[in-house]
Amino acid sequence: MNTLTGTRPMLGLTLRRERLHGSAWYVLSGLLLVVIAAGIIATYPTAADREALAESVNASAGELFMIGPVSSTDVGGVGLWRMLGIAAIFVSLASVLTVVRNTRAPEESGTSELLGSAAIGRAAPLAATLGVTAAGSLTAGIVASVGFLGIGASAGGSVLVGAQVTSFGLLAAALAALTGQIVQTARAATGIAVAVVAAFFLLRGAGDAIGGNAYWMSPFGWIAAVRPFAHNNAWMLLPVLGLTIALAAVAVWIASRRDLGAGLLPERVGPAHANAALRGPTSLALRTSRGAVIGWAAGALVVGLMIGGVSSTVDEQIDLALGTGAGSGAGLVQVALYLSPLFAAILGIQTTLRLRGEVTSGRAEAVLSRPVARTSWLLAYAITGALAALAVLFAFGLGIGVAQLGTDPGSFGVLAVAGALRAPAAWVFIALTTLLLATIPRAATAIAFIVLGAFQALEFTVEFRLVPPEALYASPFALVPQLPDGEPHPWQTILLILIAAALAAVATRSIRHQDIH
Amino acid sequence: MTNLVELRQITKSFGHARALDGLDLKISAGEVHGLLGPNGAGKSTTIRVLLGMLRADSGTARVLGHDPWTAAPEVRGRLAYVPGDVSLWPNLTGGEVIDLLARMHGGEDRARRDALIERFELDPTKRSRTYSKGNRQKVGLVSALSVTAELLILDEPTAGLDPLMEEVFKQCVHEARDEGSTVLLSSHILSEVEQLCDRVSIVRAGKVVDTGTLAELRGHATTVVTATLTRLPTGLDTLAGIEEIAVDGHRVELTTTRFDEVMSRLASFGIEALTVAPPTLEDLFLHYYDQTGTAKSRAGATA
Repeated sequence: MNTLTGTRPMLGLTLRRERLHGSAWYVLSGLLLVVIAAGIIATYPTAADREALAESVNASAGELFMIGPVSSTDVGGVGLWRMLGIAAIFVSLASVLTVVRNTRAPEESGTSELLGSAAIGRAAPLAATLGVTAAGSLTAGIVASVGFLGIGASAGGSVLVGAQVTSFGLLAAALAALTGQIVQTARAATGIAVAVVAAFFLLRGAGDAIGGNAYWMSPFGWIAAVRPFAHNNAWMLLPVLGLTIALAAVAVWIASRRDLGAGLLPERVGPAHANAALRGPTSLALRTSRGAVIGWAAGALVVGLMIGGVSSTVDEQIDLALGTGAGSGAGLVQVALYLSPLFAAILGIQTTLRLRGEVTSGRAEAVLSRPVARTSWLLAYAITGALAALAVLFAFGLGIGVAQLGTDPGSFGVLAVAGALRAPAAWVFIALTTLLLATIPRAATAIAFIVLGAFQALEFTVEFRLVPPEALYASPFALVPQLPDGEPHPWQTILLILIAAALAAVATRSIRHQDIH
Repeated sequence: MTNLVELRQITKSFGHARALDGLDLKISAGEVHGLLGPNGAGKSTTIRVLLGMLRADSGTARVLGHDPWTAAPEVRGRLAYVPGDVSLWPNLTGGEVIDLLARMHGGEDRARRDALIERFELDPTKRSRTYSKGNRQKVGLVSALSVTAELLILDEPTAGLDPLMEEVFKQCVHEARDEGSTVLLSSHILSEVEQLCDRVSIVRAGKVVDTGTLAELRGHATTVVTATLTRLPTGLDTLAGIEEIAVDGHRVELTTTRFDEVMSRLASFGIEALTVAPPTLEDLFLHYYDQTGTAKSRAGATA
């Protein structure tokens, strides 16, 4: 039997499993890109507006790092400029999640064993998944192309935009296919793939900020170098395609040779006795979240070093509308610090939401059948989430401070704490998540991220000038200390901490009335 | 004897599905009490009410003298629990999980823990995600049995264990009872219940339909009587106390709970051969679960 035997029935099964989940991710990502492009074009309706925008963007290291250069000032060029980075994140995530969900996840949970007895080759599930993600990526690309045609962009450029969007999806799918073969858990496979996508994204930013041939540093830079509506370098997609095929081929090669359930990295044995510190729900929550928090904090430190380094070598000023109205001031460091609690909140919410996983997996039973109060069990995850957010923010600020030691040693102290001081913004969302877990646990994940997304959408409405910049005063992200250059906001910060504490207090009361099941 | 567990008229619904429908349960101190029923009868829901994880919609619950829903967590320090499907933290080793849970319970007994790990032949250095179902179950059993508990609650604890380990488990339950613990064993494995339990409650559709010692329960189920008679029998089917009867010439097979009338009538036809088979637990089970409520014939099984 060939290791690819049975790819066709597997394709049917994968399509059936992904008909809602997968297609929603890809189609909605494509639509989101079109909406963002339309939004920015509506904000800069005339050619003169767009030329002014391009001039200021291309002169700003911050803009170049966060979004990239504007290479064409026609409608398509400006729309593409604003949405390409977002495409890289959303379409890549869609592919990473879909691939892991259909390869390592069923293998870990044991569903793959059911198929082991059928006439299915070892690499067939992976091949089928790659087929489905390729179709999904193509769909997202088509949606983006049609959307760009709809908003008045030129036909050739619109097709290339679709090709770029599809390339992100294909590359990320091949990447996740490989990580899913190397490590044994779905969580680790997703984590590593997402980390690599993030590294590609940041290297693309660094490359654009440095300029010249530096875009070769990241495959995302290669994709961006197609520059539809300006240079139309379709051949830049060839190295991307080559890398994608190489990654996928290695993944299929490993899948054809390894044992079911195994990875390339062998399983190690651990201690027979627990460390004395592992003794209650909080130490358990900290211990089980440790890996993710260390990973995120290390990533934040690297990003901080990178942003600090770029902003000190290319001494440019950033002119993003983001947050300036709320007094965040200018500068890449300032904008990055402004955005940092958003990412810290994502990690914090995810960490706190592990409580739900404890319930659905049945592990909560093991803890709650012991003399452990529900309130301390609930707070264990809230505290872990809060500490996770704090750790990431501290690492980020520290990275920036260290990177600027050479050029600006005097501000090291302020920079080192500038991230950590913003933790209360994330804590509000973590406390809200805790309250949701204590009252409507099944909907907690969805609502927590919708609320966080709503505040992020508020930033966009300010950027697109739909609401006055003062609206940001309703956002926790604008109310924390805007150091080093902005307002210190001492009272507002205390208010945020009090709000978080109040939400957590209500949560501890509510959890007493909840069935745990 | 005092009741360590007392449930009265407990109801619990999940949406439209009624999991418990007026369930009564009493467990006296020092007994091994079996909770017998098929999947979905309400055994696990009952146990979750006892553990204070679910709040009963109505009825009263008392565990170790307290309402499990409102009781301070310390009450749970006096009991130990093994779920039917033990889930563990994938990154922790079995040994770490056992120690952690013992510390949460309020005290470690290193010697007892190590002895149990040896008896159950568990490798405590392996990460939980690499354990098989049976090994995860062993971690749950060692965690519960290595602490001192007045009440041991076991929810289908031997699922996935091999026969040798099942024997070790049975010894452990006997030892726990000898040390004075009370045990609640939920199961659908009849032989396990038969070997371990002093009293049994049979659960069906969220209710306890019968409770008592096995001998008492057997009294409620019908016995199969097979007889070969010297004369052709007549009028047997009109006799009170016979539930099922098949007459084939001189051979009669019937089921009954009333021996006096049946035996004297059979004797009047002259008995050549006679077998009387008492109901097994399987019969009891079928008796309570058969839709019509009548025992099935076991002529084939006893021949």
